[in-house]
Amino acid sequence: MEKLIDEVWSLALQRISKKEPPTARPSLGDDIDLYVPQTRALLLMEANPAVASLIYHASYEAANRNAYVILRKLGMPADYFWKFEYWPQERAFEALGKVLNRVFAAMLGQSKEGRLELVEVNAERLRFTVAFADCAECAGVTAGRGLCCFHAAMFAGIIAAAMNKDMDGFETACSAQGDATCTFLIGKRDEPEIGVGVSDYLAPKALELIMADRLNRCLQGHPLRSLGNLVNIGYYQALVTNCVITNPKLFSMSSFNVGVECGAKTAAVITEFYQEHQVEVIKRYYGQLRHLDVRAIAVGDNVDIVLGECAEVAATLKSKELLGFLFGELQGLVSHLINRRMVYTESWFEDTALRVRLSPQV
Amino acid sequence: MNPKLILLMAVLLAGALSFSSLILPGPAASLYTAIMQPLTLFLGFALALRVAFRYKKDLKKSFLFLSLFLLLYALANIHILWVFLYASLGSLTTTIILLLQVTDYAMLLASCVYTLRVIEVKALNRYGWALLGLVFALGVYVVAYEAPALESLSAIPLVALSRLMIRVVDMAVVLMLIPVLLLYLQHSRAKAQESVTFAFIMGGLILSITSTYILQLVLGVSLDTMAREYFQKGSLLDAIYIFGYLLIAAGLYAHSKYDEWGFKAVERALLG
Repeated sequence: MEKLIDEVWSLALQRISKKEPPTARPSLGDDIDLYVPQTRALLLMEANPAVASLIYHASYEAANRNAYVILRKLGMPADYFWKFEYWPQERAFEALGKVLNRVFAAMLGQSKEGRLELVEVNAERLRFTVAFADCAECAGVTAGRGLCCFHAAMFAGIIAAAMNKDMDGFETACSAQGDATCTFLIGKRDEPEIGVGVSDYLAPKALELIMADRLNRCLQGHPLRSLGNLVNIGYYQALVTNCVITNPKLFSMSSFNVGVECGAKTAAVITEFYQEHQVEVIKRYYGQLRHLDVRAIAVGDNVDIVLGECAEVAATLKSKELLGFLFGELQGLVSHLINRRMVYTESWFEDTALRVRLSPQV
Repeated sequence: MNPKLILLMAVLLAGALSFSSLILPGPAASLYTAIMQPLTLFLGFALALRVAFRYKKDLKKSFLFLSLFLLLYALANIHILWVFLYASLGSLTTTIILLLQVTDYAMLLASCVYTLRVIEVKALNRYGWALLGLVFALGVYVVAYEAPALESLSAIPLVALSRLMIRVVDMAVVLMLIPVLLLYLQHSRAKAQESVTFAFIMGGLILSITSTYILQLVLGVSLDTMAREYFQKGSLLDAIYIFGYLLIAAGLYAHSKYDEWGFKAVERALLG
């Protein structure tokens, strides 16, 4: 799974190096609606608030590892920021800002994850404040707390790789809480203030999301940010992988359960929105989200769903552990649409397509 | 261009410039070394001063004291200046020379102290400490090699003591700078890399300081003989001095340009 995340970073680097990678999905394209990654991460966090911490740690490791590799690949010497704590403020801000802008802000901008900007540097204390406008993690979502733990860890990991130090970061302002942009404070891991801030930020807290409202806005095409409502599937793949990487089997199962609930709620919203009550409505729904291409086939009592250009498996890794949520969502959706309790029984790859079998519950 | 490649080219150029002092005929070699030695030290002074303002606190002080050391050292290397001073001031010049030496060494020691405060000596591994122990033993040997006899200490105590002190201070400086090189070597393959340019500067400094003693041990001659017959005569010692000073200057130049070169490397890689 680490390989998949590394591939996402590598493709992002290719995009800013003018080496346009081949399109992963010929008809749906490389972007996906923001709603898809948001439901995957946020609903898991809502069901189990400890997930935030798991996403954070996985994302930090991935960002740290990949940022280091990318900087070396680009020919930046490992001692570029040598003794950064002795740099005058102006030099520190300018040098780090240039690297962040040219490499990482460009990558995040290309993938439409958001607009990264270095706001403040305290070189002596190795403290950094970054702003992330149009954040894909929380755009259009309302919550009572900062939600963007994936990006908090990513920025901490990137700066840690540049500084060759162990860093941590947490969100000090979040668009989900009504702030203008998401803002993150990053500092040395062994500093008490940073440690306390991160612990508090990642502490399991109840989260109440109104995803039905978010889904309605998504279907109606309300513009949520200046970058548009789409984001590169690489971001989605990295996020999903980070959600399950700690314990793929366990998290795939819990994602499945969350997906079942989500599917049932989604069915109610989409039947009303599309004014269509047949199982075929899921094709319109997934198509609009640019998530996947769906075909439902009745096989006796079973319903087979053939998934093409599935965002989760568009990369080289065809891991079913990444699909737990989707399998659950399909079970919930189809059961609700055909008004019969169906259960996911098996799935298999047919060339590039994935066939999911739902059978009546015995 | 890759900063490491630039440094490699600088080493080759420094090698060629220092080798020139060996192939030039006698008087030309003397003139060449008499010009090159103070010139390269002046260059080092200007660059160290420039680098100092790229930092703050202890690292700034380290480079500031280094620049002052190089400036005074450059003055000490202008042979014609001292000939002129002897002619006009007579024996007072000896006092001036002594004062200059003391001040110059004070600058170098101060620079070393601030360097030690910045680098993480505690991070040295056991091989590093073992090598440092070896250098210490070598330093003791160098100090003891031409230690003044009791008779000379009582006859001309100032001269004998100042020579002894210079040897002691030189060895102390080398011991203080060696960790920079060891840390660089230790971390060069690891993630937490030390500065290649900083190690380069310190390497040049160590080479300049130790070359006299190493050559003295190899040739088996006294320091007086070396000063009379080897200094600014187009000798191997002169070539090593020029090489060492050029290494310091190249390291300082690369250090001052590091941000620019590093970012240009990124730009070039991104533009394909």
